[in-house]
Amino acid sequence: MRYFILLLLFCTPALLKAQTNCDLYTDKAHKNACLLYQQAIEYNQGSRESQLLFQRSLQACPTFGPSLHEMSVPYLKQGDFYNWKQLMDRAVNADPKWLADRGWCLFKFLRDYQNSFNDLKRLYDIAKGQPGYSSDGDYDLRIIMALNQRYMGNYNLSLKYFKECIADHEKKNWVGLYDYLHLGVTHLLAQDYKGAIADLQRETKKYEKLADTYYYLGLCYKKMGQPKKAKEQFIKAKTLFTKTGYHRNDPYCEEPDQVYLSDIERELGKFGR
Amino acid sequence: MAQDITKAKSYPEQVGDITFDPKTDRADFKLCDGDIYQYYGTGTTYKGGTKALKQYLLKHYQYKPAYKNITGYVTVRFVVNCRAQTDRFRVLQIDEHYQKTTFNAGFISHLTKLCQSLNNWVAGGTDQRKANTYYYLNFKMLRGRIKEITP
Repeated sequence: MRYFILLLLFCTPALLKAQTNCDLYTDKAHKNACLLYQQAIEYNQGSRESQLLFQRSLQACPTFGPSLHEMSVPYLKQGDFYNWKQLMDRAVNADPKWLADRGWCLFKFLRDYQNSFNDLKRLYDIAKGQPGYSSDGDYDLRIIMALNQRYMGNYNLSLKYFKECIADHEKKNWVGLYDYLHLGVTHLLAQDYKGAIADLQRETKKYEKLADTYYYLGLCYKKMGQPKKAKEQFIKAKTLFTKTGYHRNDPYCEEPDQVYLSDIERELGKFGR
Repeated sequence: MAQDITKAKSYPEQVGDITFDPKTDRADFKLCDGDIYQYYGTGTTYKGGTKALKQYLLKHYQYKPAYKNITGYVTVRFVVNCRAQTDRFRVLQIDEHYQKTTFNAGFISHLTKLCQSLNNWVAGGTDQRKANTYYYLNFKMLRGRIKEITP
């Protein structure tokens, strides 16, 4: 993971520069749209100045994906999903690469599992099984496909995408930060408690201080009729949550498999004093 | 005909701004000095987090047969001031195909009142200076039942 982050740090500015290098466009419409896009992103996201410049960019070239996408983002963040979707649909129609962002946001902000999966599967097919990453960088989009299927109750199909993605990452030695956690919770939901424990233990090796993992380990041991081990895990989860560790949290939305302190305390409360 | 935001004649100072409307908003709802920020930038939250907020809304939501055809999304957007009080509620409605729609008025009124009754907000900002913020609650509806609440 460290190498992956370093790689991203070194590569990102170059990529961004390449993405916004307007000289790459040979036709006037795209070049003008690109120059106006570059001016727009200098202003605060969602500000009048920026939206007006995106408007002008799209007058120059109505299918200019970067402007359609960037103009859509503040609508998404402010809960105006009509205008967000209108703009992203146009971006996707112009270039299917925007399926990644639309599919990811349908999952994260709207919990629209079927349409999110449809977008990501379409991209998966186009990209020959490598749809890329979520825009926050947390997830290979195959993990989101797996989570979509899990939330729709299709555990077998969910596990298929999880395993395919994780096997691919294990070969490259860069498994996602939460991949084993989500795989473990999926096994837990499918009532494969031994499988879930194996996954969650792998997650503890990946991210030792994540409280959420120990909570789910506790649930597995509880389901297996091992209350002593379960309690140990819940105590560890609480210690990490409140003192020495971390827990899943995101400024925009509740995270998949996010655990609250009240969840842990409720389980501990069942053991009595 | 679908509205095209790229052809708008003007844009607000910031996307999502809610200006005071004397017909619907409380005159005694006071904003503190400074701008209205977004919830994700200042850490505005609900006591007990999203989990507590959802539990309250799901517990108090009352399904009625008249709601059975309601499928889509309802977003209730509002301001949480620096004293953790709320007002300026606005409602956006779209169907399951993300097209604008108008749901049963009684349902919208019920959902809005539910959001207005939430009274354990924690204003974002720093301990020294709490901020006014915009927040929204998005309800994913399936045949009149709440399936999901985000963010």
